[in-house]
Amino acid sequence: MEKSAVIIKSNPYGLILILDPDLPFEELNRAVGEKFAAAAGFFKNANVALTFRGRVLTKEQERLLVDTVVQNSKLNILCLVDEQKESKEYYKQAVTRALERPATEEGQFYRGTLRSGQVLECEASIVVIGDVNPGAQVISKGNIVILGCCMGTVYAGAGGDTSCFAAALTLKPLQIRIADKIVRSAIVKRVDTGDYPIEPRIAYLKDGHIQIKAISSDTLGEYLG
Amino acid sequence: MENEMSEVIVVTSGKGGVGKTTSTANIGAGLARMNKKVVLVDTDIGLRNLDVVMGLENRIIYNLVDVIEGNCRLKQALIKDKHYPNLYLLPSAQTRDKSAVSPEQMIKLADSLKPLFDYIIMDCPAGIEQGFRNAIAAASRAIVVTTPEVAAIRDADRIIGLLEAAGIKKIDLLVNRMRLDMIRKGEMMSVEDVIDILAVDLLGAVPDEESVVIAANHGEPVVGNDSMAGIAFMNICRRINGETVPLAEFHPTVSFLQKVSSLLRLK
Repeated sequence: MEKSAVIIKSNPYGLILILDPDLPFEELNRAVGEKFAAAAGFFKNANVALTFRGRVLTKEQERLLVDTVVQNSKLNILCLVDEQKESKEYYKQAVTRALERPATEEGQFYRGTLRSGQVLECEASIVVIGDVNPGAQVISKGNIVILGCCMGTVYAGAGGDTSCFAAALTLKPLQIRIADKIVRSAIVKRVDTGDYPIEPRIAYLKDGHIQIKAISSDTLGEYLG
Repeated sequence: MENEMSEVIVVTSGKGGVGKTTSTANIGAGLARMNKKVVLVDTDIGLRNLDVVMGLENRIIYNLVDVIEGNCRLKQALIKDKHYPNLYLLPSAQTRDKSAVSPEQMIKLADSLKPLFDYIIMDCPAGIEQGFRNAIAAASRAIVVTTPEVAAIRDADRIIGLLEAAGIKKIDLLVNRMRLDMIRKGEMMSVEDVIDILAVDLLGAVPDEESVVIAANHGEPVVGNDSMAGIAFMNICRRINGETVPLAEFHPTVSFLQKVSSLLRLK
């Protein structure tokens, strides 16, 4: 039973999952997870497109299945491909197109305030136009600039780049991480009214320590130098 | 190495805003003062608060969901308290929701905490849905927090029923936010009235004091200072530990002057 719940077929650009049409979705989802967990070493971290066959899925179910695959393997799912168009050529195009996209993007903008529990993850550098509230996170492989008040957690250089920085008009974060370094805010005994003056600050790594300095020509010189 | 003394206690209420989290933080601090090894587990995934009340918000790196999903080791997620070296917090995840964890996983987690701690205290979210089921899954004992208000007592009654149905034998009541001036005027139920309605053992009553709110805003416990709430929580901790402590009589407004004046009136 378990063995036939899901079958994985592959071509150079993608995987086809043949799903059991009768199994309850939760069981199917679990079976997919087990299958990929078992094959995780085999697939490595390849970039692939994915097709589901043998069963009609809702968008939500598709999303859950993709989550399961991603969690149980190191695969990088670039896109889902509909069954009808699954020729090799189409797969190739879909994969190349998806791969090209991030390469052309050097930085991004996000407009709006990030509230507690919201996470903004970004492959490139990011500029947030708004506040980052306590409990919210901004994670970027590049730099982070917040045009607003930063009271949450910021993580610049998430890919390990130690030259990245995080800056904000008001920098009062719970934590700042840059590459593999982390600092937390001082413990202050006060009733937090959330009313902070604007003092632009920048956090960057120097000699293995995170420095947090007011933005001036001196500090920028030190960072650049 | 199984810690035979280890006990899993869930702090729950049904209704929100009655003081579960504040009580959890103070009970944890009180037990730690008695040299017990204590871990507080925030099971309110998606709406975490216990870290804020304990003033440990800025130290969170890993959380409960990270431990359960195997993203980190258990000890990496445990945060040591600022004041008590044998008090730890296992914070909740803010970016997920209750469905990220199952009751079975909570039981497994509690089993891995048992060898390390004397008391494992679960701070339960409001409501009776999955978050509640997760929080009570591993518990062998429950503290139901209520306030002397009709709505809170209704919910507490429902919760006690659910806890009994879940097979939790030892259920105690903590009556929070007692207003003695109102009780005296007959405008609020007394502790005795609450116990009559709910018919469970009383663990203690905590007066409604500004000091509790101020301390929570500063990320400090009230246990350890000489406010009445602090003393009430300390007594509660001693009762949790099996000591027999008489219920304190709260007469805050009967000052020396009032005593003298009542004596004068008698004459």
